[in-house]
Amino acid sequence: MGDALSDDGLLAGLALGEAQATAAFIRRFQRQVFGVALSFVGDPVNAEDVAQQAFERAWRHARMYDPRRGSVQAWLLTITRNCAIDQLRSRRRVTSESWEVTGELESVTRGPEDEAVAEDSARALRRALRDLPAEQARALFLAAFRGLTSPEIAETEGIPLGTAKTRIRAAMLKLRAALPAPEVES
Amino acid sequence: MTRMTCEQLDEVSAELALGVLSGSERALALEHLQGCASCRAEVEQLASIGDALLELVPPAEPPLGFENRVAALLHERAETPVPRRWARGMVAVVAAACLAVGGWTLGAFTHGPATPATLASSQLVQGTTQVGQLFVYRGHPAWIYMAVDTGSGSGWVTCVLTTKAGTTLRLGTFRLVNGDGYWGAPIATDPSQIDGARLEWANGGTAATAVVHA
Repeated sequence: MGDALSDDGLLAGLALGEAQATAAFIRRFQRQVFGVALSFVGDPVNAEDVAQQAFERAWRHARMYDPRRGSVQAWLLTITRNCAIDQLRSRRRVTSESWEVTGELESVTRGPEDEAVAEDSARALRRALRDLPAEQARALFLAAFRGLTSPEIAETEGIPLGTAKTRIRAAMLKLRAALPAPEVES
Repeated sequence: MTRMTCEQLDEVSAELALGVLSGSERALALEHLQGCASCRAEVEQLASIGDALLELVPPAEPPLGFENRVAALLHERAETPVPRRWARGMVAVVAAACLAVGGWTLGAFTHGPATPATLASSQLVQGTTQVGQLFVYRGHPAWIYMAVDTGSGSGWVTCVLTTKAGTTLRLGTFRLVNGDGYWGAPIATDPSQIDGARLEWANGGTAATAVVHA
C-alpha cells in the first residue's frame, strides 16, 4: 500500500512511525542510499553502517525536510553523504593509496541506459562532468564522491595544496556554468 | 587565524559546499557567512550542485536483509523515546552541526532563525593561536556548536563551560581526529551566564579555550 504513495507522503509516514510507510520508504531509497554510502566508504560492511545511520537520521529529522529546497531523494542522499564523511573522519584514512577514478567516473557520467528519460539537469550535469579536464574531474570526483579534503587530494595526487583547491573550485564553477540557472525561492 | 574575507571565502566555497572543508577553515567560513548574504548565495548555489552530483551515483544493491534490519533499528529507536527537552534541542543542534555539509543543511542555517543578534561567536584558542570557532545560540532552546582544528592529536575531548558565577558544566564529549572535529549540543544554562569554554583531553590536558561573550 505504501509503495503507491509519493516520496513526500512516505516521508510523512516515516516521521509518524507508520510501519508500512517506513518499510516502503526504505525499499524505495535503499539502493540509492547504499550506492552513495558505498561510493564514499568503499566497502559493503561500512557502507551498510552508513546507510543505516542515514535512514535513522532521516527518520529523526523528517520534520526538517523542506520540499521547496529539493526532492526527498536529494535530501536523503545529502544526509547519507554527511554520515559517510562523519565515518571517514572517525577512522584513519589511507591517503597514500592510488585511487582508481577513471572507471568509476565513467559510471557516474555514463548515466542510466534510459538516458533519454533522464531529467535535463542530470543530463547537463553528466555532460559537464564528461567535458571537464581530466585533472579537474579527478579532483572533483575525489571530493564529491569520496569525501576527500583538499589536503588529502593533494597528498593522493602528489600536487600542491593550492593546486588541489583550485582544481576542485574550477570544476565546480564549470558545472555551475553548464547548468540552467536555478529557480530562486524566496 | 583572522576573519575570512569574501575573496578567501570564494577560494574555499566549493569545498564548503561539498562538505569536505576541514575544521578551522570551516569555522572561519561559517563565521563569514553569518554576515555576508552574497557569499551565502554563492555557497548555496554550489551546494545545490554538490547535492545534485550525489544523484548521479549509480544505485547499488544493499546486502540481503538490509531493509528488515533498518526497519528493526527504527522500531527499536522508537521504543526508547528521547526526552522531550533533548529532542527539541536536537533539531537546532542538528541544524547547526550540519551547517557545513550540503545545501540542505546549509539552508537550515542560512534561512533559519539564527541571526547575528541571537548567534554569538567566539574564538577557540591555544595560547594566542586561534584553532577554531565556537558559536552560542541564545534562542529557545539554547545550543552551542564548535569547529576546531588544533593541527594534531587524536582522541576524545570534553567540552567544559564556565559561568560568571564560577561554576563549571561538563557538557559532553566528542572526538578529534588529527586535531580536527566539530560538535554541538543543547545547553540548559542561561547563555548570558556563560563566560568561557575549554576542551579537555581525556588525560586532563587542554586542547583549546574560549572567552565567551554571549
